[in-house]
Amino acid sequence: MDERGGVAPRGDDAPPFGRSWTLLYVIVVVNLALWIAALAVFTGAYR
Amino acid sequence: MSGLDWAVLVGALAFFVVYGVLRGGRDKSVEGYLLAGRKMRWGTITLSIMATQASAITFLSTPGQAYADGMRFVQFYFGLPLAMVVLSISAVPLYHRLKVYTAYEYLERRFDAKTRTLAASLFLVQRGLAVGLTIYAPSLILSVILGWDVRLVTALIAGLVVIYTTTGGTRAVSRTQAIQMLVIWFGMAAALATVAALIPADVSFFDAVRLAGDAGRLNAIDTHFDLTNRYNLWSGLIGGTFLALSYFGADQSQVQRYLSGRSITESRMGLLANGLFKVPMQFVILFIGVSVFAFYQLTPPPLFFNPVESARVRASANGERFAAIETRHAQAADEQARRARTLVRARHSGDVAAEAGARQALDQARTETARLRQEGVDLIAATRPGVPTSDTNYVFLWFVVHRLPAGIVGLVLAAVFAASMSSSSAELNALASTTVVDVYRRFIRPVADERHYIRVSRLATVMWTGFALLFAEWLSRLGSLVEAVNILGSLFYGTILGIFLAAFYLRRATGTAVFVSATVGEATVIACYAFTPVSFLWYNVVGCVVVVLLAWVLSGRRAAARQVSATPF
Repeated sequence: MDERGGVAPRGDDAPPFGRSWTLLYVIVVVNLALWIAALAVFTGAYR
Repeated sequence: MSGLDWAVLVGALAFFVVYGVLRGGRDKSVEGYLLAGRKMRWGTITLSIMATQASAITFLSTPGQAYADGMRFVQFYFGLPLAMVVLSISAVPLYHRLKVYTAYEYLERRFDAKTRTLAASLFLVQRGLAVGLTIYAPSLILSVILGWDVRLVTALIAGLVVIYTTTGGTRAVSRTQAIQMLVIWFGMAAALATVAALIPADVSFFDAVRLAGDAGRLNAIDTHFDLTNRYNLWSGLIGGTFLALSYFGADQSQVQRYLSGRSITESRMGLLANGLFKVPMQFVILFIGVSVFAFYQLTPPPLFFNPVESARVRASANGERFAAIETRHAQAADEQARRARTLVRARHSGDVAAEAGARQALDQARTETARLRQEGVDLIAATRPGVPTSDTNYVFLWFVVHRLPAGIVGLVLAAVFAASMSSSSAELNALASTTVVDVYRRFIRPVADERHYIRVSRLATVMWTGFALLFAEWLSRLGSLVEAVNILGSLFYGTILGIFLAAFYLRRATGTAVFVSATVGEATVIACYAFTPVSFLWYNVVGCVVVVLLAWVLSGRRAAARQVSATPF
């Protein structure tokens, strides 16, 4: 990869739980969207 | 403080130090000392990352901010999960594969020595000053509320941290941070549960929180776009993303945490879990502040939460006048609490007209209480010109010390110390790493054995601790400058992020072009700070965009072939 040959060993970036990284990224973003939505409802309900 | 509180606090502090020393290991390699041998699991990395960011001032000031201003500060963290995803895709695999010790080391592989040195210098200046504030700010609050000597508290925190950070390096810092973060969570949970239990029995916790909502304290989301408004959805999502990208991708105090991961998977998971937990954690901390506000809707609060300043005014020529205002304020707060209960009863009765009338009566009482408080604050300012007239930072600790039961006070104080120690240990650890890797080994002594670099790393940790203490001493003489120093980070983060984004994504960018762009970008940010009302979160966007665009324009079409391998894609 670079001049030192620092290529990651096989499996070094394997996603956990047998899932894909894309799925984990989507979970993080959806979690954020849900929190924003919940807080918006919270704000509206107690205004 | 009771004997039980002292036992909990002293026991926790002693445990942190002993645990850090014992779990630090005895590394004989630089990689072992500075990166924990790259053996860390993602759970430890997550706790370590969160503990580094959550300083004691966050833990103390955030509830006070919710008390005074509501929950809108939570929006500040909305960009963080997005940044975690971007960094997991780009920075993490790149840093791991290049096996760098610091983020700045990567810049020399990608560009040249001067760009690396510029970024490392910006980090050392900004973080070197910040670590003094990390230790000093909570020490000041603890000293005001508990009557302790601020120098003693500052020296105590620095002294405890330097023991295990110096002996055990990154392994000690990360493993201790994991424990400290658990203590912080436990302290937060205990504080929230106790506040809820302290709400007077004739009003439910739910009704009390609704009272806080009536007063505008549950304003978590603000969708109105305004560049001068510090916290709204857009500044949080856009400015917050840039800030988090810079902080987690280019600030060695965070990069070092996930560089210690045993694989790309462990480091990525550490960041992503932080992205999942951060917003809820900040929500809970802010909600503690809202709960304290709800409590004081039903129980009269003090006129001013800084007892030292109140005492000084009482002892001055204005003492009698101040005492009279305090008495009137207490009476107004009593009346306000009575009307709050009337509103709660009206709500339960289902009588809409009665509810509207009770709400109006409560609003009038709140206005009167606020007017009297402002009268008292104005008198404080007139008595001692120049003293800070904001008591936001003291609200939570004042409440803890005066209202929470024995044992819980000690636990919350242990959490405050844990937060201060966890942040400062990571900062000192990162400052030492950058000093040794990017300055000492790069320019002063490129060839030496591993033991020599470990000795120098330990010495650098002690030296940066000494610098932090000296800066804290200076801050204690210039209290009003604390806020200005707090904004210091945002003056540099945009530029540093621009350098790294140019490195990651502009394949044809050259070192000289990026160096010039960074200089112009920094000047632009400073001009924004000096001459415009733009809120500081946007500095991160401005600095970054200027650096990236200018680097793109200045760089020729010729791609630097040797540098291509150091870009993520």
